[in-house]
Amino acid sequence: MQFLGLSRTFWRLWATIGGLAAAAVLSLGHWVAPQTSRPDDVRRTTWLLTGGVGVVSAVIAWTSWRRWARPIETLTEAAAKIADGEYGQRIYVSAPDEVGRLAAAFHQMSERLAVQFAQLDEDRQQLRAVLSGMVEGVVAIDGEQRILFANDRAAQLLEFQPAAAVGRKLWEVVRQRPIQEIVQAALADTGTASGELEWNGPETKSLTVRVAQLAGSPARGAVVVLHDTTELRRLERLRQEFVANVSHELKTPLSVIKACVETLQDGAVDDVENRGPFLEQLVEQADRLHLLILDLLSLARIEAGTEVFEFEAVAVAPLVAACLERHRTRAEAKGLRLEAVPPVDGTAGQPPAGGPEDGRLCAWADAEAVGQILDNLVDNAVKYTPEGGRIRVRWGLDGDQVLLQVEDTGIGIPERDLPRIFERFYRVDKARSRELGGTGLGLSIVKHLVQAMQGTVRATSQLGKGSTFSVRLPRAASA
Amino acid sequence: MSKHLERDLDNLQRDIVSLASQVEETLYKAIRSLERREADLARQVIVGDAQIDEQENHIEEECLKILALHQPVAIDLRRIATVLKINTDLERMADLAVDIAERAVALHRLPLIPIPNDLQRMTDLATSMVRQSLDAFVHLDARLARRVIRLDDEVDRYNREIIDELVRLMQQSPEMVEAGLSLFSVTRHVERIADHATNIAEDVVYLVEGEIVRHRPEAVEVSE
Repeated sequence: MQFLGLSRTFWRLWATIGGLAAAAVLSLGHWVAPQTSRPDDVRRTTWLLTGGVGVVSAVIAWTSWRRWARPIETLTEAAAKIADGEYGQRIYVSAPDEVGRLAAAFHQMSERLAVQFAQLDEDRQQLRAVLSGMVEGVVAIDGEQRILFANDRAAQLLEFQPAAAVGRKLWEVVRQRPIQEIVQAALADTGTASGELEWNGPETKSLTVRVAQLAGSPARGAVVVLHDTTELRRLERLRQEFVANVSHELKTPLSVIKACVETLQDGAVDDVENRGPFLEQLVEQADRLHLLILDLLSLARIEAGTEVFEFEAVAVAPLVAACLERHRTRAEAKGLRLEAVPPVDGTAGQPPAGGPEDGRLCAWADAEAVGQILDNLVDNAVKYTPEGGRIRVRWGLDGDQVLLQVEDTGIGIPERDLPRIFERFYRVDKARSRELGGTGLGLSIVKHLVQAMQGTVRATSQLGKGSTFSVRLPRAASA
Repeated sequence: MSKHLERDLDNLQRDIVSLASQVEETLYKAIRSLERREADLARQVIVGDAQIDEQENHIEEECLKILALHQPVAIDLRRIATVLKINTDLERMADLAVDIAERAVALHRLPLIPIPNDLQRMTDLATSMVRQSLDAFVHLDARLARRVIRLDDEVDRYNREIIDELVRLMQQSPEMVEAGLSLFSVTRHVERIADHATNIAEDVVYLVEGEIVRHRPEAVEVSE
């Protein structure tokens, strides 16, 4: 509120004081003039006096404005700024009287407000930082289930946009029946409620939800705390499956062995002509048990890191040949073709003709472990390839790594399962895998062995067409 | 708007969202039961349908009650009309989920058939359409709704490709015919579910903009 750079209050003061004084002087002049001998002189003097009075009153108005009005204007401006949220206004008013005291008190208040609000703000930031750093999701809702606050983790677990969710109803933002039920139970009367639920969505996850009512009556709201238990449940399932699988795998051969032994005890042992098949069965099933236990032991050893590898330059070609030889009988029984495809380029090695000197491509690895890897992969390929199929084992150089590939024309692996097939006991199809005599450990052993030898393993597959497993191991200098 | 109408509309919204969450749950369970060959989960889906039917009737009665009692106009009227339609779509979706679950039970007894990768992609797409159309309804997001409507073409494409693949499979291995036919129906059901999601999205556009885009492909493309 300024005019010509000066406050309105000043102009008003000047107009009042100056106007009154000038009017008095003028009217006095008018009244005195006719009674004197030189009325014109008197009139001139009157005008001059009026001018003087105007100037003097301006000075008076300015002084009193400075003294009384300006401090109040400064205070008003500062108060307005504080109202706008600019705390900590500094007010400099030098007046010794009431106005001065008011200004001093105001100054003090302003500074304390600034400190307190800064403190509050810091506390809030701290609280927010603590909440957003939590592993648990936290959502605060009011009695109407409107979201008051949600930390980032909650938004991630419940799959909503935190910015858009605040102020909306929880049941609108999170359309999950189990969560609704728990929240309602807590808001209704019990005060707290908790439960575990399976998330319904593209992602499968388990959540533990705890809801506690905020103090107040009627309830002013509740705090929802979410805990991701997916990993826990997965491990629990793995353990259960492990026990179930191992017992199943142990039981089947054992019951066969038991039946055979009983038959032999019942007299077949003396029947020289017919006891042969029973004894064969006994050997076969005992071998199977032996294999399973070896699998379990070697997995346990590799996982615990106690397996000692003897690293040396291992020629790949003879290992592949030996491995294929081991599986040939089984493959031929199923009408499968087993092929070894040596590298074609001359730098990597020559096509093996049978002698060990042909396998010039060498990996820096443990020969036994590489054999085990190949055995597991070829064994799987034989199992999952229907009759008349083909299994190829290729090897060659890939950069400075040795690449081993086992390729089959089997049933393939669904895309969705590919990332999980190396997990212990993960089976794409439980029923089928057991039928084929798998322990669910083969690929897991492969992965662990490869990793222990600083290599990598990958699987690609086309459903119904076949799968390819690629193992890469560090290369050794050629012998 | 009178306080009573406001309260009734709020309750209605809550009921329909709760129905939506139940139907979504049923849908995911049905598909999971098919993919993982879990017959128990499938039976759970089949049994749960009665509750959804009950909820549908309840919502319809509520809508009619509000119409008769408050005679709402403009956006309130559009909202009730939309809820009435979405209600029916949701219930049909749940029925289709039950059909899929029944197929899952049937497949459990039949020889194993590889589920085509495309079918998994198609179910992912269809369920995400359902999810997004309901998100659009809850957030009154016409843009999202239009996006859902356009996704339907993709589902139809998958539908054709999967059916071709299944026909080829059944020609190659006749012992797979029964299982193949089950998967064939599943594909059809998933396609129908996507159609219902499209319907919901169209209703959302109507609710937000007051414009009817159903059977008018040119109206879907505008105002991006």
